[in-house]
Amino acid sequence: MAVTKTLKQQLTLAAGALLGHQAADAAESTDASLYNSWTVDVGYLYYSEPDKITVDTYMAMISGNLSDKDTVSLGLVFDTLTGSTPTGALPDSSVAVTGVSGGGAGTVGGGGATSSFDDTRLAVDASWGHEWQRLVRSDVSAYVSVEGDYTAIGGGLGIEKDTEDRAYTFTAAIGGSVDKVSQSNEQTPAPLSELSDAIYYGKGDKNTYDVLFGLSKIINRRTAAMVNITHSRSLGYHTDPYKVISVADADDAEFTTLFEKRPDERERYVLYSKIVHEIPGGDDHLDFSYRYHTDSWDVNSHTVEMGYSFDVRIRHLFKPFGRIYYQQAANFYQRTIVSDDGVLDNLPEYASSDPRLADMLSVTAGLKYQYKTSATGSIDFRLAYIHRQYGSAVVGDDGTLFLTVDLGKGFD
Amino acid sequence: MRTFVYLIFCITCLTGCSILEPMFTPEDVKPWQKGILAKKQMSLKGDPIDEYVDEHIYFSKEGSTGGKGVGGGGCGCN
Repeated sequence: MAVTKTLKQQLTLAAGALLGHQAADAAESTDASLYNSWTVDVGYLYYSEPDKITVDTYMAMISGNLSDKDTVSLGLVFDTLTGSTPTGALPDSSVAVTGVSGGGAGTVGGGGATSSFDDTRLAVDASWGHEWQRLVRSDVSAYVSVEGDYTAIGGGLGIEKDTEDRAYTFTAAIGGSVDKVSQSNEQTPAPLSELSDAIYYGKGDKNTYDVLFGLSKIINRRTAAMVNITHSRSLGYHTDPYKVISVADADDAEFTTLFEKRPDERERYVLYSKIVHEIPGGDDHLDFSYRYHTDSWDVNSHTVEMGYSFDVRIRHLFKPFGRIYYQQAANFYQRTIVSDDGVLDNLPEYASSDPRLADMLSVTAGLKYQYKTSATGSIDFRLAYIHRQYGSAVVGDDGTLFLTVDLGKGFD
Repeated sequence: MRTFVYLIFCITCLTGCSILEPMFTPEDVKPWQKGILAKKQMSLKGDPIDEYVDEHIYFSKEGSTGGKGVGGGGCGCN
C-alpha cells in the first residue's frame, strides 16, 4: 500500500513537472513571439513629370520589438533623379544655369527656363521607442541624407503619455536638423547677382528647430482622432542656389537674370488634424485630415486629404484617395523683376520666382490596391495623378504621375 | 433636372449624416473593445511607405510642409 501511494505520488509529481515544463515552454514561446514581431517593407517609387524630372526611389523599412518595452525601426532610401528642373527664368530666357548636379546648362523645352541635372541621394533613418512606465513612452529618431549638393542631419525626441483609461494620449516632441546647401560644385552664388558676375561663396548652412504638441483621442470603438500643433524655426541659408529670376519689362522682354534671394529666417506654425473611422456593419474605413500652415513668409496653406478603403473577397483591398492643397504666394515671390530699362539700381531686398512659392492649387487623385499574400504579408500598388495650377508663374500648369509598389511582410 | 439635383443633394446629406452620426458618438471604450482600433487601417500614423512617399513628393513641390512630426525634410529636392 505504501509502495502504491509512493508510486502515485511519484507519477503525480512527474506529470506535474511535465505539465509545468510545457506551460513554461508555452509561456516562453508566447514571450518570444511577442518580443520578436518584425515587419519588413520593401518599396519602389516611380515619379515622372513629362519633359521635366523623373525619379526612381528604392525604399526598405524594418521595424520590430526588441523587448516588451522597446521597439526599433530602420529605414533606407536611395533616389536617382534625372531630367530638368525649372530655373525660375522666363521661358524664352537665354540664361544657362551651371553647377547643377551632374548636369549643367542643357535645356529641355527651349530657352533657359529649365536646366538638366542628374543626381542620386542616399538617406538612412532610425528610431527607438521605449515604454518607461505603463502609460509613458518615448521615441528617439535620427536621420542622415546625402546627395551631391545637399546634406541633412537631423533627429527628434518625443514623449507620449496616456491617460489612465487610455482614451487620450498627449504628445510633446522636439526636433532639429542641420542642412548644408550648395550647387554641386560646393559653391553658392551671391544673391541677386547677375550670372555673368560669377560671384560665388562657400556652402550655405541652415539650422531648423521644431516643437510639437499633440493630442489623440479614442472617440468610440470605431473612431480615433488626433490634433498636432507644430512650431518650426529655421535660420541660415534658405535660398535655392540654382534658382534665378528674370529682370524684364512689362512685356516679358528680358534684360538679364539674377540669382534669387530668400530671407535667412523662416518661422512656421502648423495645425494638423486627422480622424479615422470604420463604417459600422462592414469592413470599410474612412480617413480624413486637414492641415493649416502659416509662416513668416506668408506662405499660408490649407490641405485636405481623404481616403476610403474597402475589402473585396477578403484578400483584395481598394483605397481611392484624394488631396486638395492650396497655398498663398510668399511675400517676396515675384514672377519677374519688372524694370523699364534693365538698370539694377532699385532691386527688392528679397526675390524669388520659384513656382513652389507661387499661388498654387494642387489636386491629387489616386487608387491603392492591396493584395494580401498571407495573414501577415501583402503587396501594394498605389497610382496617383497630381495636377498643379499656378496663379502667376514662369511655368505653366503641370501634372505628375507617380506609382509605388510595396512588398510588406510580418514575422512573428 | 432640378428635381434630380435636389434628389442627389438629399441622398448625399442623408449618407453624410449616417456616416457622421456614428463617427462622433462618444463612447467609453474598454480594453477588450479595442479590436477595431488595432487594425492597420485605423492607424492615425498611416502606412509608413505611403506616408514617406507623400511627404517626399509634396515637400519637394510645395511651399509648405510639416505637421505630422519633427525633424525637417532632409533633402534639397529639385
